[in-house]
Amino acid sequence: MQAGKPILYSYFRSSCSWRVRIALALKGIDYETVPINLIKDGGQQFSKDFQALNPMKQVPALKIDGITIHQSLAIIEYLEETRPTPRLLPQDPKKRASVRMISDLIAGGIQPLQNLSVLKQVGEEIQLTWAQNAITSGFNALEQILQSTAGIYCVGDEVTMADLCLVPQVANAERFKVDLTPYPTISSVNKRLLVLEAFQVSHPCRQPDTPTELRA
Amino acid sequence: MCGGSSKRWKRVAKDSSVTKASRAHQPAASKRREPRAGRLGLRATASAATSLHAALAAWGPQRPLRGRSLDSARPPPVAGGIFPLLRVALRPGGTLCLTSRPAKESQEALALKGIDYETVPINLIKDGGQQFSKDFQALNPMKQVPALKIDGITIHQSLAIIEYLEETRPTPRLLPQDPKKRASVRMISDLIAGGIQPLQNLSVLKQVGEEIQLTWAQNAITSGFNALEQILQSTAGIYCVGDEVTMADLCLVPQVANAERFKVDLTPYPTISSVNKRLLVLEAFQVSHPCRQPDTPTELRA
Repeated sequence: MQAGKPILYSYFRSSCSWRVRIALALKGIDYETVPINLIKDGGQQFSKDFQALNPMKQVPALKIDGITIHQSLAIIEYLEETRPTPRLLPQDPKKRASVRMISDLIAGGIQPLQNLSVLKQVGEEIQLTWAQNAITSGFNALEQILQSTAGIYCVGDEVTMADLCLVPQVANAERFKVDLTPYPTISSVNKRLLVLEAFQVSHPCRQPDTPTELRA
Repeated sequence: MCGGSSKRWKRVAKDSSVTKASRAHQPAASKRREPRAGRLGLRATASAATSLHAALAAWGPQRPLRGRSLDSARPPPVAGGIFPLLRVALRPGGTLCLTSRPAKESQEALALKGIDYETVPINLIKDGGQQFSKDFQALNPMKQVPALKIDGITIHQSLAIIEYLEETRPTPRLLPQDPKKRASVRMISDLIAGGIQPLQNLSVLKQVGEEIQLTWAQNAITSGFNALEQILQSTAGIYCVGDEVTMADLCLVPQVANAERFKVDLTPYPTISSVNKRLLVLEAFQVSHPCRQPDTPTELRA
């Protein structure tokens, strides 16, 4: 096993980074944070050093066990396979499929369409509407799906990878002023998750690089 | 892994005569017609469905295959006698040529795993887009292909489908055993499935509008491929990660097909191109190709 703590390259507000922070907290893994400011200096993710770590020039990236992994769900699945307790994926393959389906819907179907880089490309004038559309299309589907899969949390009664994706995406929805009234299941699951310690310690308002005016 | 693994993939892949895709009745080596340009902005590839075709093709009893043509010897039906139903976006009639990359990935996976299945085509253009029908929306509220009905459940999101197939039909493997290599496979798959494809799919291109669609799609692909080329330089052997076909390869081939459709210059991506070329000769990737599907229009058939 590699000596030294894992290192997480993260931005306080990045929903993808938040997912991994929750996973690390749930699994009780101590780590160092190297903040990557997506705005300052033209965006620190574009530096040569960071690009060598993650050629996609995105956060998060995790240095662990002698390797560097990026793509938040790939990181979480690696943590699950190497530190299996507590579980973030159910044992039953059909429930695992539900967890992955929900996670991919959010991580592949909503977030990439409203991330910083895409919003820059669509331009200031339509950014907000664009982001709102991306989120509402996805949440319309997600609300329907959760009505079959959810118990206390997204899939049944245990916290899974799907929940790690949900909470940060709801936070994004709130930032973009999406009306959450049509999504009662999403809202209630989100509320239950937010009281859990792992979701609190990993919150954007409690990070090493959280600006003072946004700190909890 | 040793070089013998690639022979296993060739043998296993050819063993799959799969589905109704083999109705194309063309040997794997036959000349493949390039899809027509049509309106460039509306092009996408049924790539996720194709990946599933390939995975399903390889599961099942292995038989020696030399000289066997594509449409002989179907693999046995899955347990229970009910074929999985794969809803994929295939080619509509008319001048538009449209398939979905995520669907192609699923098709490749099905072919590789030798899983026989039925295809229900979902035309993304006809009737305003059949993915918007009430029936299909009940199956997949995201109104996207692919969706797979299997073992009494319906799964959508191509990588979730492929991971389910891997967990329930583990031979041949689509993910390595070592967790660090599995992480590489998932990283590459997510880069493509989450970092490139969603930005250049039909629905987004409609939103950005005809005027800038092509540039938009090209940008999405080149940004992703710039990163992917760098990553593959560390991970690739014969295929994306080492010397065995993995889920990453199921994502790569359809995305390269998309890149070609959007006229992205692939010269800066020699590793991507050479891995793609090696994959394309495997039968699972051929039987799942958009040009060999049940509803491929005649003029586009291989």
